[in-house]
Amino acid sequence: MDYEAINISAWCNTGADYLSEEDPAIGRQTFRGLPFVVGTAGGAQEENCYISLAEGDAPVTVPIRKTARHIIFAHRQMDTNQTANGPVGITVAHYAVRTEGHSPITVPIRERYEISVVGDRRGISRFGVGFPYLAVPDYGDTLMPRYEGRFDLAGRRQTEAVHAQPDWYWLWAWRNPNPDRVIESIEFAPHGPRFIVAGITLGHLDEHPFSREARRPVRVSLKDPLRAERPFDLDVSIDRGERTYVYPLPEQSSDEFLSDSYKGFGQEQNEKSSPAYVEISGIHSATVDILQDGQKIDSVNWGGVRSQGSAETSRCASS
Amino acid sequence: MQDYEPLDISRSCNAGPEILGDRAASVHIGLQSFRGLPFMVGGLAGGLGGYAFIAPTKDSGSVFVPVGKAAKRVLFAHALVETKLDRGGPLGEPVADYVFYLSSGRQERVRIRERFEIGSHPTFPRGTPGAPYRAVSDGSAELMPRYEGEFGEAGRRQTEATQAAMRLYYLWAWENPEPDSSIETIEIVPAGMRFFIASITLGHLDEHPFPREGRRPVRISLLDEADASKPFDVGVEVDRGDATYAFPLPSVSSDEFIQAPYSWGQKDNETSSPSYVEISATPSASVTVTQGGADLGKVRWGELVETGRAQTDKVRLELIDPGKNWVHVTVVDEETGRPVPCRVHFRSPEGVPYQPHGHHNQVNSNLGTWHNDVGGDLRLGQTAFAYIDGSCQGWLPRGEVIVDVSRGFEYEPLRTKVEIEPGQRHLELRLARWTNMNAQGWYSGDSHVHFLSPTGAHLEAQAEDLDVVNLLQSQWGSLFTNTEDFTGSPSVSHRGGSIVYVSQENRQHFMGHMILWGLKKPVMPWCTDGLGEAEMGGSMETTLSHWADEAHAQGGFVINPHFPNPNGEPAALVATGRLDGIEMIRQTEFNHIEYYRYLNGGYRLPLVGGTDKMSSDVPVGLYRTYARIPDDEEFNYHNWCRNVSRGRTFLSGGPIIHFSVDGQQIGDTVSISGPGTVEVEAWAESIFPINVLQIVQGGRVVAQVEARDGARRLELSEKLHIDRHTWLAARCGGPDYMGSFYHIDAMQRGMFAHTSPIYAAVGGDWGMFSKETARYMLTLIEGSIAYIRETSTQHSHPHITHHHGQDDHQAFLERPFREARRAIRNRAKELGVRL
Repeated sequence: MDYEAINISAWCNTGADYLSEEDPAIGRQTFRGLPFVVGTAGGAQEENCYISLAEGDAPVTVPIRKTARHIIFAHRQMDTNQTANGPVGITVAHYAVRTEGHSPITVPIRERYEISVVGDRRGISRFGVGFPYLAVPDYGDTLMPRYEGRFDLAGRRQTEAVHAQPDWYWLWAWRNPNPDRVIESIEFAPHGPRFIVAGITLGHLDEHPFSREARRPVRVSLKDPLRAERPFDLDVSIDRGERTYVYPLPEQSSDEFLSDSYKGFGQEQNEKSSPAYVEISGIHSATVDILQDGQKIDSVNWGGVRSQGSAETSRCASS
Repeated sequence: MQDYEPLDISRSCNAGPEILGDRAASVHIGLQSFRGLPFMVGGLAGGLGGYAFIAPTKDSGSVFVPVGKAAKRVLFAHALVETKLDRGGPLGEPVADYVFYLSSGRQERVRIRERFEIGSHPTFPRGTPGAPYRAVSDGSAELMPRYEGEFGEAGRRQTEATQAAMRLYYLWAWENPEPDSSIETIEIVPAGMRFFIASITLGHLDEHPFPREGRRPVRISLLDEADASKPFDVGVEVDRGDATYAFPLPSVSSDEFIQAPYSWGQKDNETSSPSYVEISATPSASVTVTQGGADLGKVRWGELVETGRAQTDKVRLELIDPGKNWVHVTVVDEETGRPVPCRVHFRSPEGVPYQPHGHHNQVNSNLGTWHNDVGGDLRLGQTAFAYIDGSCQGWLPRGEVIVDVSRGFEYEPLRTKVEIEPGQRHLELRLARWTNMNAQGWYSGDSHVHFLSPTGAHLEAQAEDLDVVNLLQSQWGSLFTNTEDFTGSPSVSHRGGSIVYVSQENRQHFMGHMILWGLKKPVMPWCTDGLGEAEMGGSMETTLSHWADEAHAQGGFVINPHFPNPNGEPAALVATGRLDGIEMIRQTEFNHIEYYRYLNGGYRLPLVGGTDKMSSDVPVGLYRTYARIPDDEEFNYHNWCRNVSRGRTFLSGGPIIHFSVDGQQIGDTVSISGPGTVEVEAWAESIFPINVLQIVQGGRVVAQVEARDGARRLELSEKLHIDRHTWLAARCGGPDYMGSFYHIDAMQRGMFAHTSPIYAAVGGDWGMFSKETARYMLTLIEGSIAYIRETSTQHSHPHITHHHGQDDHQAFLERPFREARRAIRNRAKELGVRL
């Protein structure tokens, strides 16, 4: 298991109705391609699903008893003074990671660093008080609908993509300096304004859980001649990263293009589905799905493409 | 009797759809409607023996179609299946004679000619020119999908409607000279060219079967209050004619509109009633009103035209068409008598807009306008304005017309009624200037405008009485704007009335944005790192500080827009003296406190006003920067920027404001030898009501004058005791100053004015320091370094040469923040302050 969601429901003290106006995601969830459990796995509405703490509350300790390279927290602050020009970086809590036979490692959780509030776009977004320096929204950036949509968004459609805003939680990843030691527990000690912890996921891979590498171009070739000949309608999705729209590559080789009599005056559009290219930013463990006419036709591991320079399946070649 | 009666021609049919070749599959046999009229293709038998058409040839001879009925008109759905026009053949070639045998014994022989009464399909063969002069297509004009559709059609969607197109047939109507006589038979006499008749319909009404009257406005009122109060979603369908989209009408009367204290625009009526539509139809047409796609009621167009109104239990329609004149309008300056650029709005008393020809009545059909239909028109809520150079022309309704004309903050808006008499072809309107800031050395500019063309920016600047427009290239993901407009020099209008400088706004999604004025060469990349600034999956390539340095190195000026957000790097920029000004595009408590925080920290920061215009929903210069240029300097772009950077500015969202301390002007420093008293004087005057004028010292209001019901002008003169270095500024606005009186633009900006500070030095050179500010700045700087190291997106592989050419990209990115941290710590150290 590369990422392991921990069920913390037994230590939760607050129900989903705390965020009822936001229709929060509870139960098994996938945030940025990573598994989380918010509350019970089945998402029972009547069960508590958040650890909610504020200064003065007793700390809560969640047993783990497993090793991990990273611990990823889905959490958020509930109150802030930042919209009233309050200080940045106040300590909201301390998260203490205990390993057997060793002193706990205590990490300060600071406003606008590891945690922040989630709110409306005007109040809390980067045009409000700014995103946290070290945490990311629960969902990644998205592409806009490619071919059809609202006409009032036609101007914005030209930007092609939409910057992620958190729906409910910020994800912050703590890198464990001692990945071989068993983590006994994590203690959440409040130290400031109220915050909630919605989920904890252990990362067992030697990779940063959120994509930090710039996009790289990838050629996609469909091996099946019938698929390759179809009118272009290719798409790519990636669970743990981001990708651009897919575009056709020229049918001609570069040598043919250079010697073509149309030089300086364009080239016939390749209207077929292959070859094509996409630009991808992802983490090693990400899965890249190739879709044609909206149907998945194949999957490859992004780490394989990055490390080998290419990945090949029975239907596709990516390089 | 049916008003239109299709004939059963099945016994006369002698050809199948295959004569149409590739288009045969499109042929539908049986009863159908073309332009709201019934036609029976192939006759009652529905393609008897596979025959659907009458298609005589010269060889086969005439075909006789029995009728045996009286009719006022006979309509033919017919078409050619060959043409020579694509090969330069002659126009008007005879195709056939249609001979009408009347019961009176009279015979009417009508020559059917190519491109007169009949034609071939425009793609058959390809390139066939022109529709017939006397026939119409079987397809009607259609409105495009209003709200959603293919993005590839987004440009065409702005046209709102598609032309009527021939699908299979042309419709030609013959008028019977003896309408009471029975038409016994119609003989179809072929003359050579191959053609066919698909259907024949008798018209029994005394009307031309195809609408020939121009569209007329109709007010729609929903009579059920629950329907009326729903969010606007009204549509109109006309079977025998055309209808535009329906649009909401204002919810207040024209008198209320004229008397409203706020004279720039009008709030949207977002409900479903009242609304209006424009209709062109035949008298027998049915007009159906829908809401949310469901029928609300149906009336006959002829009744509406005859009586002026028609009503069902849920909806009332009223013809609001008093006639109209094509009028040439000139707006002149009261003082000079010469035409003056401005923006204009015309409407009928009911609120139907009559904008000048070439301008929108509804900007982008009232849809969003972000990077969509941005220039030439303005929409302030319910009101569309056209930017004109002083003259315009177009239709105006006869009788009472409401005009609404504006030109910036130094002219009195003109919102009044005029009368358009029958035959009147000219109208002169006069705008009066109430102050002339240029004459007093003040020149206004918008710090921050996107998407306009440079030429459009000149027109809109002049129409808003704005001297400078900073038109900024930038990037939004995959969208790069104004790419083609950069010249590296100012564009000065030929009369010298406006300067447009195309420069850049460089943007990073996390660290912040950066306006670079007066660039002579590009500073790239325009944007970097994340969305919605750089492209999907972008990497952090540079910092705002490096952009600032490149701009300064070529003599440019650097402004932090919508200060301080995104709030990453501004602290470092301030600490290292890289900013020539900070911009407010909203009036919020947050941005005021942030501004005051840095001033209290001892940083001199000129205040700049700008709009960040990205749509048709904000006028250029709604927030503007007035900069004072000394008498010994000419007004030009460089001097305007330089005096902004000297702090000789005030931001205005309407009011004109004056401020002095001991006679010193905005941006100056007043020096007193020790604690003592200074005399402050301020006044504010505005075309919009103002409620409060305040003096702010060190972030606190220390003097103010109020007018609870709003005033045209407020004045204040006070003696203030000062015991240490400080800064003072004047500001004015609505009740309680902050954000209580709003413009009707996209952001609903507060109406206010705020000066840059006058600095007061007590007992030496001016200098302030705030430990709280210093700590705040250091926290932001540390956070930014943490972001660069632990969160930002980078290229992890080694095959990269960055634009800066340095080996250590990480060090390149961190350098300005280290400088900033050092600068703050050094200041604290010099002052003996422990942070």
